[in-house]
Amino acid sequence: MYNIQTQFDPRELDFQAQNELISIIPNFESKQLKFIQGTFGPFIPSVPCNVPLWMALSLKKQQKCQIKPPLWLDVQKLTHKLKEENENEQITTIHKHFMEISLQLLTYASDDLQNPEEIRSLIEDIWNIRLSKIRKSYSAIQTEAYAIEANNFTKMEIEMIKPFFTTIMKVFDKFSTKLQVRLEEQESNEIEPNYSEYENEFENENQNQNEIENENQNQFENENQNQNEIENENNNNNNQIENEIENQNQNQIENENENQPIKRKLRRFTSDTKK
Amino acid sequence: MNLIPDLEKAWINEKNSPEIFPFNETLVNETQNQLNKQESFIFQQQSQNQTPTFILNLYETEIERIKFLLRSYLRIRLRKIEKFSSNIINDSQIQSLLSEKEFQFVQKFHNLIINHLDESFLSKLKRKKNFFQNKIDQPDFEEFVACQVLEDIENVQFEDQDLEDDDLKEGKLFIIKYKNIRSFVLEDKMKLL
Repeated sequence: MYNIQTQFDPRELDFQAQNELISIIPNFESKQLKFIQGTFGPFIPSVPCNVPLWMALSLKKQQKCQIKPPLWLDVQKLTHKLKEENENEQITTIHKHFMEISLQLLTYASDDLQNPEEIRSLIEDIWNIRLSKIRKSYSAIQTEAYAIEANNFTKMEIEMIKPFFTTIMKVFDKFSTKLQVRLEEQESNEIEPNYSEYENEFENENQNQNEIENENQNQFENENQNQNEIENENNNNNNQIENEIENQNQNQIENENENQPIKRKLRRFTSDTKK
Repeated sequence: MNLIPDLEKAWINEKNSPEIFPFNETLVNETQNQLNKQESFIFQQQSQNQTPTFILNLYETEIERIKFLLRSYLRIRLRKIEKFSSNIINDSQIQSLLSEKEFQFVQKFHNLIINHLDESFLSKLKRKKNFFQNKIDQPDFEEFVACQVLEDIENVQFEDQDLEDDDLKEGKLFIIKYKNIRSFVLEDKMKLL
């Protein structure tokens, strides 16, 4: 009946970004002005001073000032950033309102920027690379993850992934708790566990739980694992020897982990680079 | 003074959390006070005719921005109050989180809903008692939320027993189940995003 929107729309994000301070060079003279947010000024012609972005934009529209773009909004810095973004597997640190501020400045104060066209295309490139990294890292959502760490995300990126991630993680969480209950029940009844139907989706969950597994099941599981890890599709035959070795290794690991309670881990938000 | 950043944080927290937070009365009253003061100040300046119009424009822009913030905060609370109205009526603990006006609103709203449902079809049903008990909307603490750590928290023991303990470092962003971090948000050690 009541669906509460937990997402901010782009205009609300712009609103939040407009509280960031920015440097302007006024062309009028005025003493300190007292605002609710604080006092700004004094304004002396051609002496830079810091004001919130909304104030800068309003003055700019009335041609009362020149906006000094932030240090990172510059062809050289952005080229460097693009290179850094290209070289790094994970998304890099960036201003939390990167997109909002740069787009507003490009729209309303492009004459204060050097090479606005070049800056625009650089910003687009950086944005696209970051988005593609984020898309690749959807694999971070797994049943054993109780949380996803999303460092370096800008506000806008968080807003973009939030609806999808929060929903899907809730579903995964429900399933993993259900599975946990079922596994415990089966263990207490000392019945040979039979949940091969779940294995595809929840193999990680199962790994440590399974004390006695018959070899067929083991092999089946390992095949799945290898497929995920190496992502070769048609080499079941070649992998058989490796499977056997891994079987042994895994049995050892299982024995070591036998008595430890299973704790779900925190997943870091990384892009999948195994390819 | 951190009035406006605090109000903004309260707005964002309120928007993202599945439950209703305690009403921040001092914050809202103080903002209202400041707005009134500033408005009379502008009026004074206008009548004196000394301040250039573009500066008056700046003052007015700020007032509009803060009003927008304040309204958004109050409006998102009203939406939640509507959603959980029958829950609030039955639970005095949640009632203490509301402001006086909000409480008056929820009583009226609840009566309207009940009357409406009664008139339209409930009076024709035999077992209407159960109907309401089954239909009460509860805040869902199992929701996942995005949040940021505001100060270092060491050796976090999460609500869910099967989670690995961890240190939470300042500035980190997480997407995590609300239940596990609820206490930190209420203690202002974390904020929602």
